[in-house]
Parts: sequence; C-alpha cells; structure tokens
Amino acid sequence: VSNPRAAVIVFPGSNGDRDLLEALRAAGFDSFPHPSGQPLPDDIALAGLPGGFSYGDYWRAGMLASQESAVRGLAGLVGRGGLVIGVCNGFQILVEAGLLPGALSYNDPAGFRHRWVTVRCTLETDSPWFRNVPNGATLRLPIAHGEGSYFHPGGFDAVRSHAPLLYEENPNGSVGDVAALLDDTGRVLGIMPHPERAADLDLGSADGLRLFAGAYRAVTRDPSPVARRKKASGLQPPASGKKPVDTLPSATGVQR
Amino acid sequence: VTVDAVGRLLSLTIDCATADEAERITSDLCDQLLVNPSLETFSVSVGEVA
Repeated sequence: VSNPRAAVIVFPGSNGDRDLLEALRAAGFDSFPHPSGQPLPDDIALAGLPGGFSYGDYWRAGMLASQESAVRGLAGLVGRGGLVIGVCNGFQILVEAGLLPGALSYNDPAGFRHRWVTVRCTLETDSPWFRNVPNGATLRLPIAHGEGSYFHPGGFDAVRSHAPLLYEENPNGSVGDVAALLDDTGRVLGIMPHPERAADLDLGSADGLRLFAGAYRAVTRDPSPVARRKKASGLQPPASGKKPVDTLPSATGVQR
Repeated sequence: VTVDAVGRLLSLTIDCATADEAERITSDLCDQLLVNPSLETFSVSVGEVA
C-alpha cells in the first residue's frame, strides 16, 4: 500500500517548503513540492502551504498568493475530505483566500519576532490535526514572523470554538492569544508557529510532529510511524477513542 | 499622539465609458482583492484623465 500523497505548494518567496516536506515525510506521507501556479493533483490527501514571504508580502502578506491556481483548488480538496495546513505565511494565504476567517496583521508591538514559544491546546476537537494533541496539551514551537497578529472583527468570542492553540505568552498581539485556527470542517488548519521546524528532537523539539502524525492517522486510519517510534523520540502516545472522520480519503487518496 | 488608522493610496487608470463604471470597477477590485474587510475599509474617488 502506497503512502498518502501530500503536496507542498511552493510560491515565489516560500522558504519553509523543504522543512514542511521533511516533516510530512517523517509522519508517513509521500510529500512532494507543487508549483503554486499549477492546479492541484486529484490524488492528494493533503496540501501544505509553507512559511516564507510569498510575492515579497507585497500589498498584504499572502494576498497575491491567494489568487494562485493551486490555492483556488484547496476548497475542492477540502470538499473531497482532504486536509490543508498553512504555516505562518501559509496561514496568511489561507485567510486571504477566505478559507479561514479574519485577518493577520503587523505584530503588536511592531517588529519581527523569532523565538521559541509554548502553545496550549484549549479545544476538545475531532479535527484530524489534533488526534495526537489532546485538550490541555502544550507544544513547544518556534515562531518567525512580523505579521502574525490575528484579528477578527467579532473579537475572540467569534473564533473561540475554532481556535485550538493559544499562546501561553502572546508574542504578537493576537486577539485572545490565538496561535492557530481551524475551519468549520476541522480539516483546514492555519498556524502561525512552525510545527515543521519542531519535527525532530535534534531541532530542539519534536512537538510539531504530533500535528502531522495526527493527520497521518486520520488519513490512513492507522497508528502513525511516529507512535511506533515514541519510545525513541520521547513523544507521547496518540490519544485513543477518537472517532474517525468518515469523509477522509483513504491512503491511496480514493474516497471511501 | 495616537494613530487611529494608517492608509494606503492606490492610483489606477481605467479605460471605460463613464465615471460610474470606473467607480464600480474599482469598488469590485477592492471588494474582491485589494481590501480585507476584516481589517480595512476603502473609499474611491474618480477623476477624468485628459
């Protein structure tokens, strides 16, 4: 049985695509780079939008990239049960594309921030991304952004039920300490910290791999390779008892 | 001193028949692309290019 395929969309100005490719590969996906100007393949189970400075962040971060052919295909992928993750600039692109609500603006106080942060899962969710991250769990992840302040005109109450990760110490002025956001289906995740840069203990933390491993479990309905290696890596075992998401594609990308 | 808003000015040249049409085209551009309504507002003023 082949591994589920995951496309990492590469935009002009992306710089986190290789990290995302490696993290998805470590979780069990057959990941490959995909040019942003080309339509998404039909046989993928997941699409990832990496960090970076797509189109130089001109006008608004992520705005120009949100018009790309591959991004326009994301709604169809989600409709077929596929998963989407946007990291940092990828999160900005998902917001600009209307796949997630609100806006991401300049850090408050202004300035580029790059350091490790701790985020806490504060949501009981069936989202495939959080199969290995139960409510109350904390993740140690790096941030590197200048426009990561999440804003919603309705305030935190408008997104509370869709905000799975909150900063323990808010680095950018995000409303309600929001560090990540899910769409209504739970299959689209936008996250400002970089889980793909915390996917190996040699990098300082392997906490980010838990998100990708959860996605793998959801797609394959199988324990992640990460879970099998938990003794060596020090990762926690996956949460049990979560009901499967029936609309997810199988390991071959074919709808069950 | 407090800053309540920071704006951007974009000047477009649109080849069309009337000022109303130019305003409609520009407003559509703002609605669909140039403005994120969660964070921003916009206003349009139209002038004729000789």
